[in-house]
Amino acid sequence: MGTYLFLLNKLLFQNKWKLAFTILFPLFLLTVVFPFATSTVEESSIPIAWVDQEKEGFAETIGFRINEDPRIQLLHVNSKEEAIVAVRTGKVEAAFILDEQFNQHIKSGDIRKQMEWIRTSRSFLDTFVKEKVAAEVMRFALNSKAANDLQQLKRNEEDFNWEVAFQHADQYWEPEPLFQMDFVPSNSGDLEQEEAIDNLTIGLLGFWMWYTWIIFAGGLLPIYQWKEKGLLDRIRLRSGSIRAFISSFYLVQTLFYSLLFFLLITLTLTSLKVEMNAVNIYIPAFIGFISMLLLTMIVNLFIKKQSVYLMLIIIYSMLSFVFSFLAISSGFEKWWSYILPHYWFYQLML
Amino acid sequence: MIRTLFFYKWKSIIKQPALFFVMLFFPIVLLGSFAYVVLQMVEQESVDKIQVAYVDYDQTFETKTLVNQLQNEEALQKAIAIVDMSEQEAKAQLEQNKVAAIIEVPKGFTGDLRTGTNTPIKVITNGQQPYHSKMVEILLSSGAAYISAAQSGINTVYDLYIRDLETNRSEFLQQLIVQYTLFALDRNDLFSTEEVKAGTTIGWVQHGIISFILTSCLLSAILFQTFGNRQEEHSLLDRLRAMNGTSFSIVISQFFTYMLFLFIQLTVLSALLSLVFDIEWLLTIQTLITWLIASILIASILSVLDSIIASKSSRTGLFTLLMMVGFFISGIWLPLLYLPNWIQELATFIPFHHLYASLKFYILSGEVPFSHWSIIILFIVIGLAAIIVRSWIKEGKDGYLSFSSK
Repeated sequence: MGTYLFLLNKLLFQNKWKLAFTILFPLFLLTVVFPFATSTVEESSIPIAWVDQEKEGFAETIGFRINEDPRIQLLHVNSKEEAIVAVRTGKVEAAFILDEQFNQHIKSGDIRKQMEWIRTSRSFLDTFVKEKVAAEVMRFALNSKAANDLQQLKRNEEDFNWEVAFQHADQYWEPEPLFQMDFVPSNSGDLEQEEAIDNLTIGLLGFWMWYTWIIFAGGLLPIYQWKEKGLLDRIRLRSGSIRAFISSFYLVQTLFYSLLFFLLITLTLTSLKVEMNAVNIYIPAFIGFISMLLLTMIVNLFIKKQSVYLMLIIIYSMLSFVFSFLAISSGFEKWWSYILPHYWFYQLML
Repeated sequence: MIRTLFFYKWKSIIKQPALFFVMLFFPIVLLGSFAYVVLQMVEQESVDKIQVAYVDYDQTFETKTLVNQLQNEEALQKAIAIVDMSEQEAKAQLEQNKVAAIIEVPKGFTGDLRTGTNTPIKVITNGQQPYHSKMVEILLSSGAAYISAAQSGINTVYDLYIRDLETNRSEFLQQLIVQYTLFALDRNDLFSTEEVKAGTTIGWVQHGIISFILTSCLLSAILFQTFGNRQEEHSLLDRLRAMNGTSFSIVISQFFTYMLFLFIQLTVLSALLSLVFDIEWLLTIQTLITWLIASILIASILSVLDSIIASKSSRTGLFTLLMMVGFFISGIWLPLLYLPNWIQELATFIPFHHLYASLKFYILSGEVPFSHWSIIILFIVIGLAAIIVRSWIKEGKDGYLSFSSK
């Protein structure tokens, strides 16, 4: 059996191209999926692009104050074009572009269209940031308005100082603004929320299981060629039984593809930043995966025709992936869900 | 000769209808079910409106206006729903985790505000919806800041001017309060809103459809090259040679076979999708011409590989690799926007990019994308030229050998 193991292991690495493709394809897919997987909504703070050409005075202070809010994360960019790309790729929820003469306009009391607010139809939480931005601007705008009105009213007095009037208005904000709301966190309901695994993670993990299943099934194909070429018969003649040979073949394949599957799961979980322990994901994955491999081996042993075997596995694995996902995400459950390995995996995981 | 071979090949395809339908529909079913799952994955992510209960103990005109003013904007209305309800209702909803917060306006709020006393509005936030209640906090503290800003301004004018007036003090003050409050609440004037398309300029649905059709076509092409292209036996090839069936006519007839198959695949898929989605461009003459050009392009790539690589498996492997890389850097799968700059520049030299661009141009402008078509046709001409040169060299060699070489 040792010799078989050694030789069959070598066989696995014989076709370098196939091996590279097997491993690199999922990695390639992960990089493709990744930008979509990181939804800004799920993050703890709302990323916002900020274009401020003046970088001084009110504009700078407003940017600074907004950034102080732990729920908002400002990303300073240099041009409108850059900001639009960031919005379109989902890097930020929205972008605010300050007018080139923002400071001067606010000072003179002209607040109309001083900011361009760029968003997409998918932007959602940016509207709250907009309120925050408006609130910060209004502080300066109304301080300035008061100072401007006073300047107008006291135009005959020579010792009027605009700056003093502005500061007078601003001191009302310290230490606390005049009007405040009283935020009381409710204690009802338990705060210990179970971290729910989202559909994206479920879908991706299921897909990797499908993928390793298919290539595992492909990996078992040489059996048919060996049968055809009479290799198995020769081994039977020589050593009395092909049991050792077949089982070492299955063992080598199982080890390799299990390794690949767990590598993919780990990569996906780390790149999606899903924090999970062994009990939650790895053990269900192991159970689902092993049952799937066993099923495949049984089909491989008993189906005599290669094309029938392949077709059967492809259809079965597709059904398993698609229907189990539907069962989990939209409650499409039937009695036969239990014959699908993915369903076991999902049931145990959630 | 080409015509005879072409008919011969199609006859053998039609003789195995099961295989033909598998090659045609298997990629559609496979990708379709994946697309469905992906759609489910994305759809579930869309966020529901944040629900907030509003309990008004004061019941004045001002407190009612306050709520309306707070959510008086389109984007905000999509994100939050502030619902007027009684205290009991609100508490029950909070306990059932249906609302993110309760806003409680205390009795006498308006009266206090008139006399200059700031009675705070109480906001009970739901700890079970930490993220949403934080958003409510941002919104309401901003609302409070508008009032603070107006009051600071009014106080300043009062301190520095009105207090020293001898007549009309309270009249002037009232006027000022209205003016400053309205100014602060008009904060939406500050912004000019611009909505840009997320990800792709044609929208995700249309991008998805193009990507789905072309990827199914790619899979069908791979299947067709693997299973549909029967390697003729040597003796048959020799007999063909005797009847003046040169390698050129074999390759070209195969090229037309590929082309017809792919065109059927693209058209059928287009028609199927137009049943599901209510999208006009799927079955217009411009789109069909684009599909025809696409099928010629892919057929020419297949034929070039057929004529230069003898081994069937490495031929299909190379085709798969080429097409996958080609599709990827053309922005067919992932919009170019998401890819690094150097790929975006490289894409101009990839025919598949022009395939995508021609559809995009047609969808956006409704005009015929001649420039993109002509670039693809240029690539096709190069491909066909390569086939001809290759066949010419091969024929020259075969002339000496007097039998068909590999």
